[in-house]
Amino acid sequence: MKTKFLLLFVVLLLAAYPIVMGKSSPYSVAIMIVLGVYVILAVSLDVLVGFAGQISLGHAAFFAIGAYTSGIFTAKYDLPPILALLIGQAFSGSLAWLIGVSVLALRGYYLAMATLGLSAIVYSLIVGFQSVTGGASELRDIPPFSLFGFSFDEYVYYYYVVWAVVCLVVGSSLLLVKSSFGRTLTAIHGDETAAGTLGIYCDKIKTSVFVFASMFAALAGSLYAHYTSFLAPDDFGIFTSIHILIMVFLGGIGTIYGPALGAIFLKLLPEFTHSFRDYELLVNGLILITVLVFTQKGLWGMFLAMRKRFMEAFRSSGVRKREEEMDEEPVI
Amino acid sequence: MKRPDDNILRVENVVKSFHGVTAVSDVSFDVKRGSIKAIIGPNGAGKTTLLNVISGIMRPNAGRIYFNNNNITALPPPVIALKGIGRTFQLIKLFSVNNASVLDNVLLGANRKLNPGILKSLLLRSRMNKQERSVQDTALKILKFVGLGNMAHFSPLALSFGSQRMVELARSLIGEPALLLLDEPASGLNDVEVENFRETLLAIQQAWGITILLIEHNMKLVMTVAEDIVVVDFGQKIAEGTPAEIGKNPQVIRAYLGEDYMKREVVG
Repeated sequence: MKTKFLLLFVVLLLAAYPIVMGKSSPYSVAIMIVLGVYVILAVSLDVLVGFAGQISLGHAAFFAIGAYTSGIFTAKYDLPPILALLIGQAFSGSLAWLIGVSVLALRGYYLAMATLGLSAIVYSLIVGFQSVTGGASELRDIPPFSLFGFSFDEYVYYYYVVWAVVCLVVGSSLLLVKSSFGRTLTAIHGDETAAGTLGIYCDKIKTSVFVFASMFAALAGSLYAHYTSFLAPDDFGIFTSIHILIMVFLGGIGTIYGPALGAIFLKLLPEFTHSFRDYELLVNGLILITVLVFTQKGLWGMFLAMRKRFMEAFRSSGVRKREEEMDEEPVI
Repeated sequence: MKRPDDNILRVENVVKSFHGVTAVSDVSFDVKRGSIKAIIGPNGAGKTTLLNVISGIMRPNAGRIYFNNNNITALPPPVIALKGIGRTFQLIKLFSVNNASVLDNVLLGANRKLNPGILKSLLLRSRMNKQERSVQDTALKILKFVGLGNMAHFSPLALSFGSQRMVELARSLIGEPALLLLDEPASGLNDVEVENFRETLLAIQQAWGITILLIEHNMKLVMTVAEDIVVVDFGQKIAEGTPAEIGKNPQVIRAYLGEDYMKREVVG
């Protein structure tokens, strides 16, 4: 019950944020849009990595596919953004399915290798097909997102679109991993041989969860394209894939909330450490190592531990509360 | 309709070798419907390999396996499982990532009934939840049956070795198999637990009507529950028969039971 109130509080906070901040500083709303995009990327990757136990190094490639499909179809062919977004979904979904069917029958790190290759291929295609993608000199003039004739041309409006999608992605990911489907993911993560003898078709389930995660990555890409209005290949390289993976591990793998926290933390970190100038990367690196070494389940584990300690202090200070379940609270 | 055969499982001339080392060579035997059959033999004789071949984890180099008169040789493990062959493992394979509980492990055995997919889990939630509740009731009953009624919400890692084996048993039972393959289910159990396990086995066979094929080293257990025993040594079948016959077979005594066994235990 406690978690539900906390969630409601966070959603209200998010809804009020642009109303409070929007007028005085549009930048603070803009950065929240980028954060939302990365929360979608990190949470969807967590379903794949944290629950199904399949490492993908190509999340940025699907991010790129969504972004460039939306960008090209709206900027060059004047398609309605929602239609371009759906084309991106269909495209990324079928590509993920093709890769999944051919690679996921194998166990181990083949998916990581294949998606690493995909990342390189997609990057080269973006740079190479200059006439379509704009190449290294950017794809420009992507219109703002619009739906049924209403254009979300101000950050404050678009903020709500992005964070509504974030809630949708986080919500459906949570429902999925807590369902019986999520349980089969746990089994596949643990031991595919044993899962197979229980009648679980591991290949099929791994493929479907890969498609699920990849389509959400493409969705994040479409949202991102309409936010920036221009796309450059460097935002979608292998480095971005690794960046998203770090968000998942930093936030707490297999916890859904954790990677969301990790995305926000990692994206905001430069905002606070850029004053270190030349030492910025060093400081960032030290902070990451500290979190990864000293916490059990990343930032989310740290948060849970702190909450538990707080509740214990609260109780021992004489205020009696019926919070027995706090001790046995699961990580999500 | 064909008349149901007396034999639920027929293993025919199965050969399995690993990089030139023959683990199972030309083994054949039948398992009678509704019976308990045991495979015994020294370590490394190829017993587990046989079970792996039957459950589809390994492909045989030659030979055929028939289940209910259908050729199931080299089918993928989930297909064989869904046809009604459940199994447990010698090295316990329980799931513990992402805080999976004992109950979660047992529920995974009921995957055939729930058959979850992404869209089903997201869009048909009320139906899936209803099914989940009924399966959960069954799972709790089965956990009670194997003596772990109060352990449902523990992590499997918190359980003793013997209890972990019982969780694996419960997990395969909830799938309602027609044939259950048990790989050394009584290893790690103390004498009292073995006695209880004997009762459990007989209940599974008699009350649930499940045929059991088990590998076991505990001869006291094997000799009292099995109707039929296959003895393998160096990948070959060296004897097959009732416990009384096997206990007197000189070749079996030399290869596996030992001269001491003759003096101590032979019945009759």
